[in-house]
Amino acid sequence: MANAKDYSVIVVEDETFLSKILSERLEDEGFKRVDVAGNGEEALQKIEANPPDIVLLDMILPKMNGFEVLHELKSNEVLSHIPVLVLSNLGQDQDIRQAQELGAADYIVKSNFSLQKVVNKIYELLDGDSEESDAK
Amino acid sequence: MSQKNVDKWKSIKAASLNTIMDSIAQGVVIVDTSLRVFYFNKFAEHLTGYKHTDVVNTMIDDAIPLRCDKDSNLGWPLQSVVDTGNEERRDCDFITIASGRKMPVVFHAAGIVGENGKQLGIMVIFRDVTEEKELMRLKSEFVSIVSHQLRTPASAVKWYLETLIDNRRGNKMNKWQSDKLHESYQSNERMIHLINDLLNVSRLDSGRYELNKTDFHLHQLMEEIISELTHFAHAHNVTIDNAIHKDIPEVSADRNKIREVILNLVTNAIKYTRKGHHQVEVGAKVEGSILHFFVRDGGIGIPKKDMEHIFKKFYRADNAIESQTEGSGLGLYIAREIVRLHGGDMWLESEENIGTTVHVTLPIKQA
Repeated sequence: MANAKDYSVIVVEDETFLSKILSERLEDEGFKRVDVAGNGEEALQKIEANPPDIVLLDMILPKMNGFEVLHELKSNEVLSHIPVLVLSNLGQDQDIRQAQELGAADYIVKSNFSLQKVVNKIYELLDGDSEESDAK
Repeated sequence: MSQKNVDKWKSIKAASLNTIMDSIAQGVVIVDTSLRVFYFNKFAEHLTGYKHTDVVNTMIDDAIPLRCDKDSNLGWPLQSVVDTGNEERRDCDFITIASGRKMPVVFHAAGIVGENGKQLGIMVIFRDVTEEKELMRLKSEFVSIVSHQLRTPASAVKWYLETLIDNRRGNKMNKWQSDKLHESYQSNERMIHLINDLLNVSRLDSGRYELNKTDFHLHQLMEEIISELTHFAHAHNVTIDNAIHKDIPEVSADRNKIREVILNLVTNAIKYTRKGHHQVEVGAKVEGSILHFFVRDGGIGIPKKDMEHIFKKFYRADNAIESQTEGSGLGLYIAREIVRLHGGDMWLESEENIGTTVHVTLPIKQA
């Protein structure tokens, strides 16, 4: 399993309640760097300035939504290799399909996943052994 | 009655029939046995914008073709509707009216039978369901937005409570506090489950529930489900016997959705178990092109009076409520709708205080 201290992560989430508890947990896990962005534009700026090893991306965001951020990232030659784990409470089939078509590595409906499962999924993606989406 | 009165009565009867046909607020089309239009009432003209002179003597499939968004080969299934006597209500049905608009419709067809018992034609009564569909769409959209808004605080509560329960930072907590945190976590989980159920119902009812079909082994899926339910089954002192043979043919279905269906059925079987009955059995057999599997328990069963309602939304049998077992009454409704979307079916056999067997059929992978 990937060692957290070798990796950096960015949490893109506008709900401060959620970004706070998630980033705290990732810090406790020992990640090398945990960045937080509260909107799509800020997320892109931070990712371009300091590319992380994985992006945790909400979909409903101010200024630029998650689908647009995902599109921008996957269209950027330098950044397109970074795995993007979508963490959203939009759970409609078409939302999940659209994110996957745009290149999301996986899609998690936040309310259905414990923090531990989110962390496990991050390790799985960093190990590069993610199989097909188990979004639910 | 004199001949004069008989003739008068016949002409009144004929005129009344015309009046009825032209005044009812539903489209009426009568076709002969070759499905050629014989009659087209005024309201049908009003709904479609076609004049009866455009339509009469034309085949119904040419005059006002019925199409389905999901299958362009479907026309008016009139004979089957006559045979079953049911109203045909396919969510995808529409007719293209004179203005070019696609009008969603539901229709009923009845055979017109002569005195000698011979079928003379078919009467089709149809109505415009544009407003019903729009209301359904708005309701679905509303439920979807509200559910999303509810999920966000529910996620925050879930993650914060999990963090407190995990206590990774080692803060001291006594048993009373720990118990209350666990109870809060479980309550929040039930709320999340209910939100998910409401969203599923909304998607199923509005026809926006999508399937992503693959071929997979039911035995393997069952093993995964048993593994997931290990703690839950253990807490109820129940063992799950997977009698599905490893070599049974693969089914063609949406694996995640069928997983949810079976998870729901097995969870029910465990939670409604009776004292002294500790086994849930799952089995399957091949019947032609379908796979028939079942989940059998020795639980509290379903009273006879509740059986006909058990698949209705929000319905819970009295003894289920009395047993103080948590449930929203949506699980079985959702499960059966999902199975039916796959072209399968679901039904129950049950006896109170003996147990319940839930039967499910699914299509087998095509060779």
